[in-house]
Amino acid sequence: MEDTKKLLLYFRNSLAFSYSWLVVCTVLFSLAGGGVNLNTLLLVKILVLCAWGSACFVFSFFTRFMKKRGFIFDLTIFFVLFIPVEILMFYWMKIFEGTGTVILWVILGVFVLICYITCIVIDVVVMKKRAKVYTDKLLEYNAKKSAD
Amino acid sequence: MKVSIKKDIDSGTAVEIHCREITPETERLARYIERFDERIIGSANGQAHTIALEQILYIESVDKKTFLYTTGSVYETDKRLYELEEMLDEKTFFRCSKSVIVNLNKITKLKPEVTRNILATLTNGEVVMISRRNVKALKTLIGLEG
Repeated sequence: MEDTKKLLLYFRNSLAFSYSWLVVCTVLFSLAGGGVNLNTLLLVKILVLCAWGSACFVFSFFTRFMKKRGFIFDLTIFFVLFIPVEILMFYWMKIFEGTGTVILWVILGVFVLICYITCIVIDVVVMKKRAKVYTDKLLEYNAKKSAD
Repeated sequence: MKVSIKKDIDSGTAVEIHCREITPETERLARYIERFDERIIGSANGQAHTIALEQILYIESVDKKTFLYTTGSVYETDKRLYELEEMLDEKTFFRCSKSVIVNLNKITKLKPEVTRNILATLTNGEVVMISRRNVKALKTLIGLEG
């Protein structure tokens, strides 16, 4: 029960954060002369997208089942759950002025890939080195404790 | 330090430490003797078992119940997590999150995450998460900080 409450709290916070940012960005884009027409339906669509994103985020990073799997696994699950829906929602919201061009969709794909690859590089290069230092230090500590 | 064994009581074993003054070393020695062969009573399948501390991989509190995990078995104990934390050697049993105490001797690998948590792999392959709130305490304990 306590876990469910905590998850709902995380969901509320991430929904509030993502929705407010996305609405601000959409307003700025609209004011800057972009092709997006601000209306109630669009705001509802953004809310649906943010709700799905927040649900995926909470499931991937905070549930008991996923917590022990490691960051890259969690991130992969998040992307697998979120990206296809994001693409469909962008298409439905006509973010790229209708079906958009191939270049626009490629830019979106490259952006997602860069985010994913950066995380993997950080995990493999930085965290692997740290893992070795931490493990060696713990084993040294255990050995010293046994010797005492 | 002089160690002598005398056969002068009828049952059990009693240990007395004689010293000129009580130093941190003598206190540590007393604690060590007190914890020697210390066991916790746990139940599994309706039967009570005494579990040696060195067998315990980690202790977890789930829905106000406390479970002791050993290689291949799970036991429930009447004691609350904070009671066990007070009772156990803080140099061996580390409070790694709100609901888990882990036996540091049973950790084979530590892996820090981008999220600032640490994943600890135990001797049986299970993974326990050290929450970011407790990471600093662990680093201080093992000598990575301070």
